[in-house]
Formats: sequence, C-alpha cells, structure tokens
Amino acid sequence: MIRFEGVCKSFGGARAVNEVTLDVARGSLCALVGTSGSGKSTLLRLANRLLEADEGSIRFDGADVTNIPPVELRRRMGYVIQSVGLFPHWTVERNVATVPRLLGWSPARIGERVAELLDLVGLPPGRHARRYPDELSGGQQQRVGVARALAGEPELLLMDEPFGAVDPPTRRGLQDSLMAIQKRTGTTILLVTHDVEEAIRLSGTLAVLDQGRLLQTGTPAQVLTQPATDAVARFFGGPLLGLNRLKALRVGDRAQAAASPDEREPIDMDATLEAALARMVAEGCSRLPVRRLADGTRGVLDLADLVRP
Amino acid sequence: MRRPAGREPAPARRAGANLDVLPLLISALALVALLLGGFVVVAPNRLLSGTPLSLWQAAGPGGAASLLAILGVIALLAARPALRFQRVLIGLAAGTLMVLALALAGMTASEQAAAAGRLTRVSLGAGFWTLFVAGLLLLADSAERETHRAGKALPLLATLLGLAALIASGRLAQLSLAREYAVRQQAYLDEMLRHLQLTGSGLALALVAGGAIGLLAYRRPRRAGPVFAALNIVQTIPSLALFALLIGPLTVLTGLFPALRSLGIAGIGPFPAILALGLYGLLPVARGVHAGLSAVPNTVVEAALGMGMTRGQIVRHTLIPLALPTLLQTLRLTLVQLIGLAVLAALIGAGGLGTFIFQGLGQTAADLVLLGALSAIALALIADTALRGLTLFLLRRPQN
Repeated sequence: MIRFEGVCKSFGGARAVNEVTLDVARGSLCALVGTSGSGKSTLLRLANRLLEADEGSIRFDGADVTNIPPVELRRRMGYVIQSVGLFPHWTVERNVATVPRLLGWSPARIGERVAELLDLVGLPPGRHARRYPDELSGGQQQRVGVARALAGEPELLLMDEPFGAVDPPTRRGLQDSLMAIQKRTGTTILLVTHDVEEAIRLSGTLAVLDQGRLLQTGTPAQVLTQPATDAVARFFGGPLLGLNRLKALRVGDRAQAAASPDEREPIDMDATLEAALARMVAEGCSRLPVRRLADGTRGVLDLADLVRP
Repeated sequence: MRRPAGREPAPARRAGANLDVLPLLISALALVALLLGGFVVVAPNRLLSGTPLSLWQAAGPGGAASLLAILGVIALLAARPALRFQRVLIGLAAGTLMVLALALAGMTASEQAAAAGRLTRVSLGAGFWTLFVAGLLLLADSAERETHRAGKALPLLATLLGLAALIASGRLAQLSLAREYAVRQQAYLDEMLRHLQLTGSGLALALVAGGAIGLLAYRRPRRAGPVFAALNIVQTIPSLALFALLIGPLTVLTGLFPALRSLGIAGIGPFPAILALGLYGLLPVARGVHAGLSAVPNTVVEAALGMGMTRGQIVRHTLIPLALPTLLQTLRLTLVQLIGLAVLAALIGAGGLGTFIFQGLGQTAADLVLLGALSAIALALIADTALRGLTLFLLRRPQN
C-alpha cells in the first residue's frame, strides 16, 4: 500500500529519518515505534507530504507521492493526531463530513456516511451528531477524530500517537474500537506510538526506529522473541522484555495436544500468554485447558510452555 | 469569546449579596445632581450666559415628582435582584427616565419661549445631563448583565423609539440645541454625510493596510516585533499633530507633481484627513488581525492541512471563522475610535461634524458645540451597538 525506499529527511543538518526502507502491506496495521526523536512522526508526515523527503522515494499504491498533488494525496489518506484538532466551531457531524465535502459528495451520501461512521466509532449519531467538540470528553473527541479521518474512505489511515492524551481505560476502549474498525473496513493503518503495550496489542507489523534508522521490522512475536539489536531489546523493556513477550505471543503459539480431559473452562487460542499466566496465578495452577487446537483436538497449556524459548 | 455571550453561565452571585450596588449608586448620584445642579439654563439670547433653573422651577412639582418616582422605582428594583426580568425592568425604567427628562426640558423651553420671546435660549443644564447620562449607564448596565438576547435589546429599542417619537413630535423644538440645528439643517445633513464618508474611507484604508500588515506579522512572526514597534510610534503622535503634520509633506508633494491635484491629493481637505484616520486605525487593525489569527489553535490548522484542505479552504473554513470574534471586536473598536477622531478633520478643512464644534467654539455658542459633539457621540454609540448586535448574530451557535 505504501512503500518507503531509502528515505532521508534532515532538519538543519540533523538527520531525523535516515535511509528508511519500509513496506506496509494492504490491509495491515503497521506500528512505528521508538523513543522521542526517533523520527517516527517525521516518517509519518513524509507519507502525506506535510514534509518532503530529501532523498529516497515514497510510493503510495504504486505511484510516487511526489507525482500526486499534496491536497489530493491527503484526501486519500486519513490523518489522526494526538491533539485531535477537531474544528471547534463545527458540530460533530460537520467535522466528520470534512473530507467528503472537500471531495464534493452529494449531501445524501455525506449524511449516510457520517451516520455510519459515528455508529462505527461508538457514538450514536442521534445523541452526538449535533454536539460541539467542547461538549465531548477527551475519549469521545478522539473517536470523532477517527471517524473524521475515515470519512473519505481513505486507502490508508495515518495515526500520530492517536490515543496518547487519554487515560488508560479509555485508551484500551479506543484500541478495541480501532481493531474492530480495521477488521470491518480493511483499511491499511500506519500508526505512530511510543506506547509498547499499544504497539504490541494493535499491530500486525512493528517497525522499530531509533535515531532516524529503522532497526527492525516484523510481527510483534518476531521482534520480541528475536530483537535484532540491544536498542530494540531495551525499547521493549530491557530486563522486562520477557514480560512483554508474553503480551506478543498467543496461547495458540504454545499449546500442545491434551493427554487427559480437563473439565475447567478452557482458554481461547488467541488469548495472549500474559492472560494465560494471569489465570494460572489467579487459579493457583500450572496448566490450563485450551479451547481447540488447529487440528480440532483439545489442547493444554503448561507453565513450562510459557517459558520455553 | 468564541461562545455568544448568551451561552455563558450566569455569574455566580456572592452569598449574602441581596442588592445590585451599581444601579443604586447611579440613581443616588442622579438624585444628588438633580437637587444641586440646574435642570435647564435660561439665557436672554444665544451668546449671553444664562441662569440655571432647578427641576422644581423648570418642570413644576408634578414633573419633578414623576422623575423622582422613577428613580425610586429603579432603587427598589435594584434592591431585589431575585425578581424575574429585574434587569429588563431597570432598563425600561432608565429609558423612561431619559425620555421623560428630555420631554420636561422641552416643555420648559416652549413655556419660556412663549413667555419671554424668541430670543430667549433654554439649554440643558448640569442636572439634566447627569440624569440623562445616569439613565444611559443604567441602560447599558442592564443590557450588559441581562443574559437573554431579547431582554438585552428590548429596553434599548424602547428607549430609542421613545426618543425618536419625542423628537418627531416637535416638543423639543424650542430647546437651544434644536434651534441651532433648525437654522442649519442642510449644513447639518451635509456635514453628517461628510463625517460618515471620512470615517468610512479612513476605516477602509485602515482595514486594507492594517489587515495586510497583521497578516504579514502572522505569517512571518519574526517581523511582527519591528512592525508593531513602528506602528506604536505612529500611535504616539498626538492626533491633532498627525493631522497637521501631513499638511507639509503633502503640499510639497503636490507642488512637485501638480498632476496629483487632479486626483484629489492636497495638503488640506479630505485627502490628508482620510490618510490620518487610516494611519490611526492601522495599529488597532493590524494588532487585532494578528491576535485573532494567532489565537487559532495550531493543531486545528495542522488537522485541516493533513485532511487535504487547500490554503484558501484553510483560511475560509478555519482561520477566518475562528478569528472572527477578535476581528469583529477590532472592527468595532476601530470604527468607534475613528468616528471620534474624524471630528478633528474639520481643522484641516475636511468638514464633518467637527465643523460645528469649532464654529461653536469660535462663537462661544455652547449649544452649537454640543450639536456637533452629541452627534458624533450618538454616531459612535449607534455604530458600537450595531456591531455588537452583528457580533452576537454572527457568533451564535446554530442548535439543531
């Protein structure tokens, strides 16, 4: 969907992005992670040409972005920022309708789309469409921000620390909504975050940046089991890396065929190992029945399976 | 400032505060002034100074009693802040006070003219003016604090209607002020129109040039400092001096390029007056535009850009609407300031309402001075009120 190739960007001599090559597949969710100043936001802003790359090329759906007028390019990409940036003088409805109106859709189509999106982000339009941003909570504002970014049926959604400014429970709610939305719409998402847990939870692909360089890409499980460099390991927890690995791995990755039946409530295959460990601790046991293995047989997960390399 | 005033929460009342101090104070002051100062001044002719008549002498016991009764009603209303429509009622009472006081003064003038002949002049005295200004303050205070939009406008409109009806009825015709107007009706209309033209042209100049400067300062923040420093210097030139200062250079300029004269450019007359007014409006307009635009949150502009708005769309959909409250306030303040300043234009031969003021000063005819000054004040008040109304209208939040 979008491919960065040898992309460099400097600000006054300092390289913010250095020779980054990254391919984000259609329909995937790629999280750009790294500490502050690692260049992840810069990379995102290069994608929709809020910044222009010094070197290298960025291809969007096969075309070089420099050949697409910025305004057109941005209307084909949704954009969500941490501070939301809703238009305070417009109602929720009008905010969400921004890009469709820019694209010149018919009022009927816009109305339909706005209602659909507000439902999608969990804000029933009957109650929220006519409200103003300052009448919403921070979490609701960010939901509107996501709806607004999706309104123009973008091929790619760019999100710059979208949930960084809301409290943890609200953040988890927003993350769940985002995963559900992506499942339904199949939109490709490029997300910037410095929240390790959020990155592991949401992403299909992690791209770890440090000082402008791309250190490693891979699934969360790959990156956490085989960090390419010390910097990657440090970013994902250093000595606590193992705990984060439990968040990235699923029960299905480690479960084995069950020898004997177990009458207790089985755990789901796609639950995280962290959840499995939590249950073992809570129940004071070292084995859990697993709902069904890929071959249809009952499975079991042993504490030893969790710590197996 | 973004929300219309009508939506703001009512200011919390202090516990135990069970009366409005301001209206009480104002009505008490008006009472003292009425008792001490002359209500009208009667002079044997236009130029001699006259003798003051007290309210009792001028309006008789009935008139005096009714004015005092209204003051009493205002004081009673002020002591009962919990009353429904209290502010609207105070506003209406204040308007009645103003209209009645003017009517009584007009009647006195008619009686005096009938008794002592056409040469007699009856002017409005210190007592009257204090009462009238007190009424105006009460009216403004009630409009300011009333939260309901119709409640804000009602007393004001009723008072204006009352004053207009009183003037139209001819009952004021024998007041010295009205007689000064009557002998120069055509000149008054001409100078009023000229005043509006000067103010309008000066404002247009200030809006275009000041707007451009404000925009430049917003786009290039590093230049904002020096630009505003330069404009501040212009503002420190005394207004009278600025009008006079332009005479020299412009005369030299037209001497060098006589062709300029055919364009209306000259050392005296309307051209330098408009230029001076425009220069005076430059700083407030530039500052207002700069402040208004700077107050628009960066995140909103970034979001607009990121969503694919063109430059024009960003200006139209975010910068202008979000800066609008400040821009409208700037327009209002600048207009009111220029209406007042345009009085000085008469000094360099540009005409306007100042003509009457300076004529009156020359002839020591106080009522002619008043005719010009009051007209300029009325003009400023009307412009201010109209723009406040427009602001409320434009900034309302459409609900459903």
